[in-house]
Amino acid sequence: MSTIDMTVLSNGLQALVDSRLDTIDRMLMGRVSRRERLDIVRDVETQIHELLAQQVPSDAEPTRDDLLSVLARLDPPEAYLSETDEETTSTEGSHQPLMAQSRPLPLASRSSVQPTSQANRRGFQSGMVAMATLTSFLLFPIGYALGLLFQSEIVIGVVWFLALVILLSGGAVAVTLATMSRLSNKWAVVGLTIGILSILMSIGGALTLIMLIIAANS
Amino acid sequence: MNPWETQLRKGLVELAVLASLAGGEAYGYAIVERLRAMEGLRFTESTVYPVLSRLAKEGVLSVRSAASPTGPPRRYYRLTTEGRRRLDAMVESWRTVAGSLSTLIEGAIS
Repeated sequence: MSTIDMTVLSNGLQALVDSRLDTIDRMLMGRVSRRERLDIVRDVETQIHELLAQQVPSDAEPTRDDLLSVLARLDPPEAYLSETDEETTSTEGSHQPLMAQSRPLPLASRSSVQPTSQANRRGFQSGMVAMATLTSFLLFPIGYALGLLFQSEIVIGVVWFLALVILLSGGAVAVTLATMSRLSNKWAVVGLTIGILSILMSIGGALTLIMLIIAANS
Repeated sequence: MNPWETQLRKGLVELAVLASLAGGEAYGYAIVERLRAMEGLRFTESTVYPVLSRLAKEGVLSVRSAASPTGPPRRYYRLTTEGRRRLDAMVESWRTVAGSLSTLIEGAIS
C-alpha cells in the first residue's frame, strides 16, 4: 500500500476528481437527499484514492494517465441514475430491492427514467397545476354572462374576483413546484412560464378591477 | 447477464450488504470489493454506495470516519441493533425461499 495523500494530487488531477464527483452529485440530485449525496460522493472519493494507491508505486506521484485509468475502472456517473431511481421506488414502497449491476443508461434515455424521481413528479405536477389554472380564464366570460343575466355588476365582480384568486394561487403553486423540481423536465418549464404569467395577470386584473370599482363609485 | 439474473440480484443487494457487515465493520470500498468478488453477485459501487447511505439513513447501519493512509477519511459502516434484527429477518426469509425452491427444483429434476 502506498502512502499517497490527498494533498499529493496536483490541482489538475484534483480538478479531474472533483469533476467526476460533481457529475455523480448532479446525477443524484433530486433523487436522494443532500446528506445521502454527500455520503455517496465521499465513498466514491475514498475509492478513487484507494485505487490510485494500489496503482501507483509508493515513491511515485500519480500522473494524469494513472488517474484516468482509475476513473475508467469506476462505474460511469450515469449508472447512479438507474440505481437511485430504484432506490426512490424502494424508499416509497416497502423494501423493494435495487438494480444490481445494471448497465448505465445513456443520457438520451434519461427521460424514460426520470418520471419516477421526485423532482420530475414535481415538474409534472407544476405543469398540471398551471394548465388547470388556465381554465379559470373561462370564469371571465362566464361572470360577464351571469352579470348580464342577473343585471348585476356585483355578480360580475364576485366571479371575476374568484377567477383572479384562482389565477394567483394556482400560479404561485405552479411556480413553487417548478422551482422545487429544478426545472427538471418540460412540464416544469411549462408550469413556471404559465405560473408567472398567471401571477402577473392576476395582479393586473386585480388592479383593473379596483380601478373599475373606484370609477363606478365616483 | 440475462434479465432474470438481473432481477434476482436486484432483490439481494440489501441482504448482501447487510450480510457483508455481519462479521464486523467495514468501509465502503472494502464492502464493494468483497461483494464484487462474490460469484453471481458482482455488485459495483454505483449499486452499493446508495444502499449504504440509505441504510445508514434508516438507522440500520452506523457510520464512523477514520483516517486513511491513502487519502480522505474512510467511512466505516457497522450493523446497529436494528440492522442485526433486519438481517436476521432477511436471512430467515431467504432460507425459507431457498429451501422451497430447492424442493421444487429437486422434484422437477427427479
